[in-house]
Amino acid sequence: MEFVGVKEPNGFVIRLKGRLDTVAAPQFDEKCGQWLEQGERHVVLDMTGVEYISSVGLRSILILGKKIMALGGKLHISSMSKLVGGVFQISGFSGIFPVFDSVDSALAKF
Amino acid sequence: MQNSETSDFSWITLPASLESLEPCRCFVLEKADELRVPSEIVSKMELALEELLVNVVKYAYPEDAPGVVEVGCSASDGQLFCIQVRDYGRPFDPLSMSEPDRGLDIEQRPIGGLGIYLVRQMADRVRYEYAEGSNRFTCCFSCE
Repeated sequence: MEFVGVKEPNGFVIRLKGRLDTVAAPQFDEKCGQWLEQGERHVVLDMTGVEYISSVGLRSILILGKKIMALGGKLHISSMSKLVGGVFQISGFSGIFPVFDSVDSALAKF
Repeated sequence: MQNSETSDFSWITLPASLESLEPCRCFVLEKADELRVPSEIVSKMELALEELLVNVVKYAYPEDAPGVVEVGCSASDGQLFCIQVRDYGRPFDPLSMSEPDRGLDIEQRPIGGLGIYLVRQMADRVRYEYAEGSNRFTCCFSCE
C-alpha cells in the first residue's frame, strides 16, 4: 500500500493507494501514527485509491480515529468506492466517522 | 449442503500463516476466473476468504505448533460459487460468536470481531461443521 500525506490549509490529507488488508494494516498503523506524532489533528483519509478493505483495515481506521479523538482531533473519510463504501456501511462504520464524497468537502467540514 | 458437495472442489494446502494469504487469494481468483464468476461476486468472495483465512492464521493453532490451512472452491452449474476453508485446530464454530454491536458509538466500540460478521454479510449461504478432525467453513455466493 502507498501513503502520501498532504498538508492543506484546513487539515491533513492522507492519500491511500492499494488494498487496506491484513498485510497492509501494520504499515498503515505505523505511517498514520507518525503523522499524529507530528501533530496532525484534522485528518482526512482520502480513500480514492483504495480498491479493497477488510476487517483488519477497518480496525486500523477505528484505532486511528480513536487516537485522533483522544488527542482532541477529528477524522473524516472521503472518496470511497462503491465496494469499499459498502463494506464500511455494512460494518456500521459510516455512523462512526463523517463520510464525504470528496476531499474538499471533507476538509471544509472541520 | 452435503459432504459430497466438496467432491468436485479444487484444493490448495498451505501453512496457516500470513504469507499464505496471497497464494490462497490467487488460487481462488484463478478458479473464479475460469468459472467466469461475475466480478462483483468475486469481490465479496475475496473479502470472505481473507476474513476466514485470518481467523485460521490467528486462532487455529498454538504458536509452538503451527498447522496448515486448506482452501477449496468450486461452482455448481455456474450458479453457486463456493469456497471452503479447513483447519485442523481445536473445534471452533465461528457462527456461535455474537454479532458486534454496530450501534455503539466510537468510544464504546470494541476493537475487532467484525471478520465473521462480514463473511455472513458477503455470502449468500454459510455453513460450519467439524468433521474428520477439521473445522470446515463453507460459504457460497449466488452468481445469478
